[in-house]
Amino acid sequence: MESEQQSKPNYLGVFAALVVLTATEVAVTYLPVPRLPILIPLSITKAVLVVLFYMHLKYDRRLFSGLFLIGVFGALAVILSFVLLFQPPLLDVAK
Amino acid sequence: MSDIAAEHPIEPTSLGIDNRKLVVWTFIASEVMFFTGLIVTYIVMRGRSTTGPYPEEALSVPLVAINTFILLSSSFTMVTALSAIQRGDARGLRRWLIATAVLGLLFLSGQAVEFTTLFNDGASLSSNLFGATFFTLTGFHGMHVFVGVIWIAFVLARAFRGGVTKDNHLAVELVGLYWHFVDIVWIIIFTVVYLLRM
Amino acid sequence: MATNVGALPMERRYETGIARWLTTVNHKDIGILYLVSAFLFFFVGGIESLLIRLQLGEPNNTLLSPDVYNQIFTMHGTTMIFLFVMPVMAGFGNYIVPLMIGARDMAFPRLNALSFWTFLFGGLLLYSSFLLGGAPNAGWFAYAPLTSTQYAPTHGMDFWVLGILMTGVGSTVGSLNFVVTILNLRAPGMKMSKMPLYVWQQLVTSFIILFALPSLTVAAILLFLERNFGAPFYLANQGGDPLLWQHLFWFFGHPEVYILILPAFGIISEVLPTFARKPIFGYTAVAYSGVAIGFLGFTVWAHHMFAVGMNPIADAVFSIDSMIIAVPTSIKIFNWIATIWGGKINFKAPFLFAVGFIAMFIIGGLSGVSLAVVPINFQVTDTYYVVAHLHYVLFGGSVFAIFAGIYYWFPKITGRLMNDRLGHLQFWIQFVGFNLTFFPMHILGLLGMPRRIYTYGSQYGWDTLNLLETIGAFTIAMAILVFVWNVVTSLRRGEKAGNDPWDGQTLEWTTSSPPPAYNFATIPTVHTRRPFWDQKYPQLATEKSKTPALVMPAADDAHGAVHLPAGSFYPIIIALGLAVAFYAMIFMLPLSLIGVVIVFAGIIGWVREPR
Repeated sequence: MESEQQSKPNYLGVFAALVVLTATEVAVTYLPVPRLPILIPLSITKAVLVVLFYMHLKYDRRLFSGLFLIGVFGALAVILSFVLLFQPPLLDVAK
Repeated sequence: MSDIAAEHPIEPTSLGIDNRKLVVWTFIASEVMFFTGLIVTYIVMRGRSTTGPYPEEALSVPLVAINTFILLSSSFTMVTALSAIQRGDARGLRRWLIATAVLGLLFLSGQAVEFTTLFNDGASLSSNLFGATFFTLTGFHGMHVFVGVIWIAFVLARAFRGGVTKDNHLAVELVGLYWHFVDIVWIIIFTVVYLLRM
Repeated sequence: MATNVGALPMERRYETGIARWLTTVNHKDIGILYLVSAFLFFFVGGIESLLIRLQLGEPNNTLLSPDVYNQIFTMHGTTMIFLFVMPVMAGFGNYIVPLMIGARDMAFPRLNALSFWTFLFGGLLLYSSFLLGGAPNAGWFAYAPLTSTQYAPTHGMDFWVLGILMTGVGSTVGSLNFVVTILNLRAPGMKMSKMPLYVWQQLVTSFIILFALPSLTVAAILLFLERNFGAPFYLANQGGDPLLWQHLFWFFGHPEVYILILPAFGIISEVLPTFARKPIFGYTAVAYSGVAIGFLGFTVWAHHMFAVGMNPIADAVFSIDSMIIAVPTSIKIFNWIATIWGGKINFKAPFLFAVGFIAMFIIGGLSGVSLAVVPINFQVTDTYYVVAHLHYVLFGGSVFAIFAGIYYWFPKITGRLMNDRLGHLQFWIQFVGFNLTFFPMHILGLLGMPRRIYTYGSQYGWDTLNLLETIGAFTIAMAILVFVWNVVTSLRRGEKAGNDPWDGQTLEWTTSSPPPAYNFATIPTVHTRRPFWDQKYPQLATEKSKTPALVMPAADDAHGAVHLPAGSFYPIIIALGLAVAFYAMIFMLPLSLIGVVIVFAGIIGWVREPR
């Protein structure tokens, strides 16, 4: 089938990376550092590793990446817009 | 997903992709939106509970961190299972699939423990907004893990009957895609709910 | 197990009777099941609308109590959207898409059957609420907190939630099928840029469903949990937010309206070229504008919420987006008009309905753009102005297009033509009735008549217009009666259609009417957008193609016999299991396990069934 035989990522290596990243994330929560700017990129990296290598998206048809990215894009847009929409009022319109 | 795939030559498809693989990827893309709805509900309802228990006190990271490692390991065993059958190693396939299912069940047990701890703290679907959003999000994720374990069992059964081979193992790839997706969702949940304590 | 064309005996395959229809996995059968069921729901929804109009026909009327009125208008909207337009489009899509792309069936025949049965049982579950404590009564959009157990104490809203979830399973599964079928089962040579526009619109619609419906699913699940488990998602006094419902709902709800209209655009894009005997003007623009609408449709949802108190920046963003989305739609309209322009018009009923569609949709589109202007919206939101707008686009738009599609494809499906004179009669009665019913609503809205009220006093000056609207509604009903008469008599005595009654352009017209079970004895190869037309009239071809536009290989070129999947009981069994589980969730939760077990057994059977 397709491109599976051509490429065999180092699954154990990816797993090791995931473990290290997760351990780092947990450690961060015990340290006096800002969480959001550190944890978000780390989590995204983990997710990307799983998608690219475990789900083989890096080596597979671009259509699958496209489908998945539409979902991801939609997800990010929804989260961002909802967070903004549910903020307390920015302008005091009823002054 | 037919055992008789070899008897009937599959008509060539316009894109040269197997229909079943295309449908699973499309379904996963759709499920992303489903979990987005649950996650965004959790996020925007943060800090709005009018009574306790509150996540700052109720949630504790260590147990769930272990659970996260368990689920990550299960993704590793799953992809190793696929790798095995790609080499024609049917025994390896079965072994690693069983490992994946066991890890999945272990994860679910960990969740059960976590849920029980929270119940004992007074958190439930009806206790407050935190309970409602937390249990709905993690509950549906857990349901997806459970469905995944059952799916693995189906594939395992077929593997034991000899129906999964080096040339015919799409079923393993497909259950793997679903399983990794569920793992990714957990990565997000773990960060958003437990680590960011947002 | 398999059916070979003409050769081997058929095993375990029901050809006639109830068993055939319960087990069929053939896309044409399923298409018919969808169309018939959807029209039955249409009649019920229509009766509900007549009840509404009877109640509102005069001031201070007491025909329907407020509570009954609320149930009737809720069910009217829910029925027309979820149980009529969506399934009708699924029915057309099911029947026609495989034929148009030169395939033998959909990619997943049993999944196809499952999508139908879950739709039907979902609709029946929803309607059973009338007998089980009361129908849902909080409007089709079910705003919180009106849907909480405090204000909606009957099980009605639970039926609404579960009906939505069940039909949602059907829509999701059906859309997955369409996506794979359209992407993967096209005939050789039929690149995406050569496939019929109806297929393009169906593809975009399917994607919209897949990315929008989950939001409704989440919203509905949260509502169910709130009502039945006390989870305070939408309850403000416990920190929840009714606007969470509105955002989640409309994030689905707006793309939903494009789900309802894009297939209609597709029908029009097929009918107009056929009856103008020209190619569609600007194929690429029509195709890509559909994609643009699909995408932009996700960016405008809060224009249903301008008046809830969002901050002005949010209002502005959604307002601008809502105006932008008028652009790709207008592109289509201009292309359709240009298609008609200079054509050799075959003035049959499908064409008439298509032109009516364009005119009515323009009006609906214009009122829509006016609603995008926030200050106007503040004045007219929740008034009859909005009711006017939505009916112009949904009835004047989708429903007129549906009738165009029925008159157009009825001959292909049944082998008989519908009576064209009756079609013209229906059109004109419907056109007059429709405008009489809904045009005055613009005025009433501007005069301040709110939506969803069960009666009104006569001091407002709304009486005459309401009466006119009621007369209009019954006029529409007469048109529908003409339609039913036409269908019934055409089925019995209609003129035989033959393969190609309209001198068509696309592949479905190459088969017999109705087509054989296997559609095409051999899969054709195509090289142009109008393969059949170009084959019939090579001298009129508008696309350059060195190879013949349409190649039908001879029977002995085909590799082996045709493999047709046998029928299966498992789709209906799974749908039944789901229904059992859902009923149990309303009345006795532990029993839902029985439903789950049935579903599980159905899945096991499905997976192990030899194909």
